[in-house]
Amino acid sequence: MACCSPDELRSYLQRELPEPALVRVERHVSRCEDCCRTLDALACDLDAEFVRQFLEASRRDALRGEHSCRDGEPGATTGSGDDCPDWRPFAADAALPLRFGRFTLKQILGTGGFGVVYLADDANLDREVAVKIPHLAGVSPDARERFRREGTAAAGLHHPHIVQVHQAGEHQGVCFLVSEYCPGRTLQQWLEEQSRVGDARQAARIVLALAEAAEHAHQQGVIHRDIKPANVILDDRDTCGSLPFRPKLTDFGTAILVDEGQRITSSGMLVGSAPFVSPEQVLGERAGPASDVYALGVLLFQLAAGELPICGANTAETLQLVVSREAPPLHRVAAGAPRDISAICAMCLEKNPARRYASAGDLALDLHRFLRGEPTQARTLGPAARLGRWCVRNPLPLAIMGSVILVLVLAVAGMTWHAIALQRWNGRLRLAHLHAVAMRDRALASELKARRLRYASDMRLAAHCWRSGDPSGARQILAQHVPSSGQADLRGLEWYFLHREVHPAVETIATHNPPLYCVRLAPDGRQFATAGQDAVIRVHNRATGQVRLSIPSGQGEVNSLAYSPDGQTLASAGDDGSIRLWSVADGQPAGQFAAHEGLAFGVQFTPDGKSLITCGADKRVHVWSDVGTDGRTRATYADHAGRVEAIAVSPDGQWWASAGDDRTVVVRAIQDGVLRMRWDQAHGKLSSVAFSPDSQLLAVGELGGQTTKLRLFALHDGSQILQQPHPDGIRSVDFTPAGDGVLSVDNLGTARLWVVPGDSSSPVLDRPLGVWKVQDSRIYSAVCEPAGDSALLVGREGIVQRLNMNTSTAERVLDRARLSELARLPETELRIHAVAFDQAREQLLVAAHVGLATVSLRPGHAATFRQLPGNRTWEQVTVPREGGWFTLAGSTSLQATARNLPQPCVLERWHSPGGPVRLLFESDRNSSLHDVRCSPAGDMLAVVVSQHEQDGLPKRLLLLDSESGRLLREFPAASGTRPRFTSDGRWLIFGVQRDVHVVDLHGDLRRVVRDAHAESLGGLAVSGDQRWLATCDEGRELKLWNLATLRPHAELQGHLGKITSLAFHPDCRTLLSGAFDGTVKAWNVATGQQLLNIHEGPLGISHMALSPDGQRLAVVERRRNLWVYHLPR
Amino acid sequence: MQTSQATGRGAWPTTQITLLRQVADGQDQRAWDSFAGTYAPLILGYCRKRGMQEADALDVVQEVLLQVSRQMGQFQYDARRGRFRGWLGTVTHRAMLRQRERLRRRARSASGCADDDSLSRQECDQPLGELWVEAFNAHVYREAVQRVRLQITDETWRAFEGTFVQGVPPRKVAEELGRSVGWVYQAKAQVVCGLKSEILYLAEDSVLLSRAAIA
Repeated sequence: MACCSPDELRSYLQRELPEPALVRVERHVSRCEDCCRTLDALACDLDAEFVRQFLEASRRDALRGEHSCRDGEPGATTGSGDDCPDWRPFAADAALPLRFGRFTLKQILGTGGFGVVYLADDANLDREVAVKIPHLAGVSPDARERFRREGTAAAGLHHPHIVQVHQAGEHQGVCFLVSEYCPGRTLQQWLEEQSRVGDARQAARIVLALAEAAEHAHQQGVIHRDIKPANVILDDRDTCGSLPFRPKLTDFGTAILVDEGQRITSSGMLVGSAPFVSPEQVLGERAGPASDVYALGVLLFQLAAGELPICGANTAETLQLVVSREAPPLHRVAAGAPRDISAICAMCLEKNPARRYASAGDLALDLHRFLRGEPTQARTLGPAARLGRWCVRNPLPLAIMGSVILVLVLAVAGMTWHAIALQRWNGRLRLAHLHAVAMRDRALASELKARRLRYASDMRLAAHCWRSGDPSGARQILAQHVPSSGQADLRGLEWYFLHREVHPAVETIATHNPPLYCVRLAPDGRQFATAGQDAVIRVHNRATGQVRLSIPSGQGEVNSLAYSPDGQTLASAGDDGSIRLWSVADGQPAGQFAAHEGLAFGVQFTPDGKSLITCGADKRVHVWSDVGTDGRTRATYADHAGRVEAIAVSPDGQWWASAGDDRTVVVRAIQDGVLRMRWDQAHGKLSSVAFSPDSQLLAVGELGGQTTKLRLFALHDGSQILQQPHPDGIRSVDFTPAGDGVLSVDNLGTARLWVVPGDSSSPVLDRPLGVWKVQDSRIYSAVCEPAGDSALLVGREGIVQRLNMNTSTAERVLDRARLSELARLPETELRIHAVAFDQAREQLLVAAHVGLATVSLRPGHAATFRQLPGNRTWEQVTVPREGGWFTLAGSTSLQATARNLPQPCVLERWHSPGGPVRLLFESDRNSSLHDVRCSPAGDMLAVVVSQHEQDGLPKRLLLLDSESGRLLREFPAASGTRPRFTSDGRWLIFGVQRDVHVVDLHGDLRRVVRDAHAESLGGLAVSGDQRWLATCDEGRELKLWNLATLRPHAELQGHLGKITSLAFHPDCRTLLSGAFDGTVKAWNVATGQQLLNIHEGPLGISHMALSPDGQRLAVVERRRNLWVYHLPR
Repeated sequence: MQTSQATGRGAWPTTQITLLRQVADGQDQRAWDSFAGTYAPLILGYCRKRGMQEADALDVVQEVLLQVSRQMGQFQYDARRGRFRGWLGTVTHRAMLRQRERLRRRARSASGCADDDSLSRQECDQPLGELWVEAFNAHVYREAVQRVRLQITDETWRAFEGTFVQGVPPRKVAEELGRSVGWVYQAKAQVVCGLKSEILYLAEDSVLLSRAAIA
């Protein structure tokens, strides 16, 4: 026949040839070398060359492996230079023999699932071995992992029916596996050679050997997972019973250690060959010993019957059938096959793993029994068979009883069948249900895991956006993690932290066009009301800003609003001089009266809700009693010589205050109108007054004049405690709910937050805590929201804005320069060693070398310093959770040591920074106190003491009674020992050298983790829920442990310097770590991933402390600077 | 938007709805996942090969992805210079240099207490070049293999692997598989063709034209 034309061949290659031509070409090609060459040429066209270029790249890349440029040999393996083994020899036998490490590869024995097997000489041991090298697919990390696993798993198995694996290794980036060389065919090849198959006894002998091998592997925790004829080598150097060869199981290529099983199934990867894969593997469940039993059953069937029990047209169909179709009984497929073998096969091929042989060993036993002619476990006689045999033995009674029995049997059988069927269906339903539940749980669990991983990596990304000045990118990422309904909320500290950082200080929550003069919060804080030029009163939802109610008041303009204390009524003061009352529920009028001649400016309810106080352009202040009724009475005060612009009522219901154009402020008692205070020294008109929440202070804002000021008066003596120059005319003032700040808003659209001095001794800041340019024109009214970190503002622009006043996250509250100022000592004598939160007193205690410093946690962070006597350095401070007292530890100073003066270290118990001091502990010679920790209940102190070196005495961990200083227990310690109590106070955890000790304080139990780290242990932290333990060594190694099991949970990599402190956030989801690399990092506890750097600076972190409520983080930079972070709630 | 003139160093078409466009607009999380899923392993592997620690390499990956998402809007297509491979390589390389600089700076500034010997090990600042091209091509090949394998039978793959990757004569492969020689040639041609189109998609224009957008 003539050769095919190139065009024809090209069409053939592209599968575009019509049917008759196709058959012809197909047939011709299989015989014609010329056409094959043409096909070769066609296939090696441009496409092939193009793809080859990438294939070669991937080969070279694979050889490089990771870290190839390390250790000062850049480029050593970058080119295809001499030191790079060429890949080609691995692929084509032309280049063999080839040296590969200590092996000489001689010939290709075969190509397996993902490797090529070579026959090789082992130069060291002078023996022939099989070397398996993964080909291309082996370069993926997954495949490498599988390969490594194969080595580990298989090298531990020693059995006459298992091909012995000697070694798994890597040579120049190429991994390989060395095993015993077994000459002989595979069972696959043997099967193909057999002219006649179906010798059941031979099949049983082969499978028996393999079942014994599998049993051995199972006992070592190794499951083969891929038993099939191609993975059985028939070693013909040896015999096995009556077999002329020894069957050996090989290629634990997919075998994995049982303990690691989860990994491979969770990746959804199916290993094994389709007809040999067990139903449970197809369903994605974990393969167990029963899966190997199934595969052995398939093998037995195939050997005995000459065909596979279940086989579809392709892999997918086969897999489907494996699950859905019962295997046919062997004796039907292979006539003449013994029933016992058929039963053994059937038992192996059960769909439900629990109904198969309990182990490969049991299968081996049954095969043994069969070979010896004994009854098998698989084929026990049923009652029908026994009845049958009885009948055969007793023919006469059968004839008599026949009909009777028949009737009875039919009746009973009918009922029984029904009951059995029902039971079976119920059973199936229950199984199906259990299965569904299990699947759902698994799906949910893996979804949660995936979400956690994505969350942590997104937080990194968001933090990155934030640091690189892209807040909108960060906002977008953060928004994706707001949980939808029903989803678990994964957000932790880091989310809220970033959220606060990247959201602008001001957010417009409602827009109306006409200017707004007044905003007031409802007493329950759930809504607020605004009003202004268009005289429409609007009630808004506080959270969303949505308008819930609009009330056209008809007052011309509304200048002021007031909520009644019960929140039911709104009062409005209008340009028509009237005061009107409105029901908040439905906006209906609830009363109205003419109050002032001309404009009415201010209106306020008294806290009892019975009286209203109003002011207006007529220079009058009226106090209206019984406003809800017709029997309304009026007391009038004419203290002012000009328009009265503002009115305020003290929260305790005792006073009202008014201020006006006449530069005068007046305070009178509500009860009887007695004048409490009158001050008229202002430089300009007064616009606003406000009482502090404790009714002790009055804030007054000036509107005009060249030197506008914000003033604070103490009510008890009328003294002025603050005169704060203000850059522009103040329109409104309001205290923060905690009373520690005053918010002022001005004519230029700027809002400022000022510190309220705590007492006369505390210093006053010369600048506001925060300044926000909010609008371009006047802000008329501002009110602080209940949480104290935000305020609502309205003004000429006619919009309602929420100001986030908490945007200053971190503040440097103390540094050496400031300390030196406070202490009047040179900076060299001052260091910030340690800090502790005294939450009860809202302060930070600072062990500052020669003395004790305190830093207030209130706005402004006022600081004090007190030098302490004794020639010591004060390096440790600790406060119990409940507060009330604290300890200070002083060690022998260096000067004293230098002068060889014997000086013990001391531990003192302080009641308060200025209060009485008690000596708790004093060492008997020169020594230092390294760490002091207080138990959660405050009853014990754990103290690490070291004697100075000339004594050569080891370090000790002492447990002291915190009241008396009595020694309770004592443990050996090391230099890095940092004891921590668990939150229930039961366990004390500390590191000694490389071990972690967990000591039971209620009993004598002690658990030790040996060699927890590569170097000596440094810091420790225990999570509040006692689930997690974090440890670091004296280097950069940081580990998370499950505290209950003391097993490692994760290794946290990311710090570039020694880790100095660890702390768990109270939500137990986040771990914070500070290190010499100048960062404080937040880690996701569940996934072990790094989330963000909370602090990043040029100086190393020498100490870090988290307040018990988790809202403040103190960070000490290189013993110089103390930062306080406000963490979000 | 007009695309006549190329500006800047990179090349990017903005006329079509690109994968990155969707990403940047925040419209299509899936587009982003697909992009990141395809190229993040490449960047990570490249950094690791150049001696970076896992955590640092992850930072570089983040930075590159971020840059990609940020910069795409500014790029216009330039056929002469515009290879995605080169562009991504440049971005990656710069990110690596920045990361190293950061590490070095931090180690220096904290040197009072930090041990920075680990940093010196990471020196291997060769210019961007062959190594990146190789890594990129290798990654694209592996990616393409994964994608193609989803579309073909194991047998077809084995025919390709035997003949093309391992260089076994087609006749032998045909015998092994129990197929005709012609079939083996067909299978090889099919896979080569599939690989080529996947490689083209991944290496040249995956980011230019989202398949989803076309479909």
